[in-house]
Amino acid sequence: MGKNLKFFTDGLIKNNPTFVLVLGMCPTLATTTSAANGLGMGVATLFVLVMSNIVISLLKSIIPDKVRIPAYIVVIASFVTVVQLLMQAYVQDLYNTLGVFIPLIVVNCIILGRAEAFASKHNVWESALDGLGIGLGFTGALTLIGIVREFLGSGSIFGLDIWQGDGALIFILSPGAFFVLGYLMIVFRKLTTKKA
Amino acid sequence: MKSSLRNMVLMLFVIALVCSAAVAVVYDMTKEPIRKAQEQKVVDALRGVLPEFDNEPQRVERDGCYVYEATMNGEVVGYAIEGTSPNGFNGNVTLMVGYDTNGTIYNIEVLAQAETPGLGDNMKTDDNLLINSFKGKKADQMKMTVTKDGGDVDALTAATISSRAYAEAVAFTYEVYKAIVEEVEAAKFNPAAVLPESDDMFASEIDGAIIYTATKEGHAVGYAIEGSSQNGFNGIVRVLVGYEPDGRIYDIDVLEQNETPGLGTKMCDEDNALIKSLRGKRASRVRFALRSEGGSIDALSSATVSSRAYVEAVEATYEVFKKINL
Repeated sequence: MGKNLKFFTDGLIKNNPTFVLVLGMCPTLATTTSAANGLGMGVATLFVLVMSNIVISLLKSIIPDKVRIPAYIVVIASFVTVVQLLMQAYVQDLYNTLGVFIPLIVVNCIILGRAEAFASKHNVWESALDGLGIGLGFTGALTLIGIVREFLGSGSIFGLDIWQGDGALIFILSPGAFFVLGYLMIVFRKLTTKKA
Repeated sequence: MKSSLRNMVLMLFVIALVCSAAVAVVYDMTKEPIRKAQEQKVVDALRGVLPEFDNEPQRVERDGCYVYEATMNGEVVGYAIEGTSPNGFNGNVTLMVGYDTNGTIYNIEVLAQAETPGLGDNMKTDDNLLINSFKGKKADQMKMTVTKDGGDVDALTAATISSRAYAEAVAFTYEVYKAIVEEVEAAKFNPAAVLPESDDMFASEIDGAIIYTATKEGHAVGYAIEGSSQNGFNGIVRVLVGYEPDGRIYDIDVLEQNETPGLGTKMCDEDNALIKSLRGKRASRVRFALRSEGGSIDALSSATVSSRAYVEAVEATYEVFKKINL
């Protein structure tokens, strides 16, 4: 159990996909204009990641090695389509805001990366925990970046006004995404290396 | 599993089949909720941009825009028109613009845009320079370009391109609105409605005025003449008056007016004081002035100015009618 728990916490901290592995930068930079958008994107990715990790781990022994990548992609794409349909049906506003980044989860390297590096070598339970850990790590990072950008850029968090006024617009624009990501990465590294 | 050709083809086939089946099931499950969510979105937008209505406005395509007609108790209360400008900072800007029947912009809702967050994307807020430039304004009395281009639209700070696209989208919807109103007006203009039964009708001109003559079995049974007055409470009042050959006023239709709702607008009602004092009367015996001013026509209550304009417009048609008999 201790070993299993490590699979989970590794994804959150030691292998945090955003701050340590620096994977999936495209959605990270593009969708974190507000905390809610970051959280939405994170949760959608989390769902796809956990489900595809489970299924790929189940199928690992029957997928011929040479066609494993196309097989993974088909599985991942199916889950992404499912997420897309569900979001369209029940959270349409979020779906409209995230737009093209939802279908682009298919090519998010975190997901294919975990399928290839982890799920295809571990059992179902471990893969699910790994997906959950990595997914939550990604969700947490995106939400954090979203909170900082929304706070500095429009003076609110999750749409609630913290202070009146316009805020520093640059944090909402693309350069702000790089600034915030960079500084948060520094802080994250500083905190985690001290622990080790 | 061994990567033999047979295995590879078979497994990929099976995986693809199972996955597409799963997607198909979810698609089927979510089809109805997605349709409902999209419909709800349109209904919400319509409620936001139109005066109160009680029908289910249908989406009708017209001149490349989508139009919804809203009615209350069977009467048209406004039109919501979707307009898209392709010239946004990041592609299309799609708006839904609500007009009431007087050509006033009731409200505007942004349906789709991908403008810069924090700059152009402020156009979707409920209270911004753009929407305030339009809201409650008479569309024909404003120039729909940003102030920088000499128009009446205040642009969003640091978002001139987005603002231009917004103004352009509104301008598109106004073109459609004008076309709709013209069509409605044209449908309203029906000389037969103010004339006795006939089997033929022709138009002729006397001194610049157009006269519609209705005939039955070759004999003239009535003449419809248009007249107007510029002295209404809010500008022009235009009427169409039907005369019988002996000079009796058969019926009167109001073609155009901008009078005060509930007061001057009563002139359009079926049996109002004005029309009652004119219908069936010989025009030669009518004193064209309000009763309070020595005439023979009862004014609408609390709408003396509108009533005067109405009388003036009717009198103008009588001047034309007199020329027919000469």
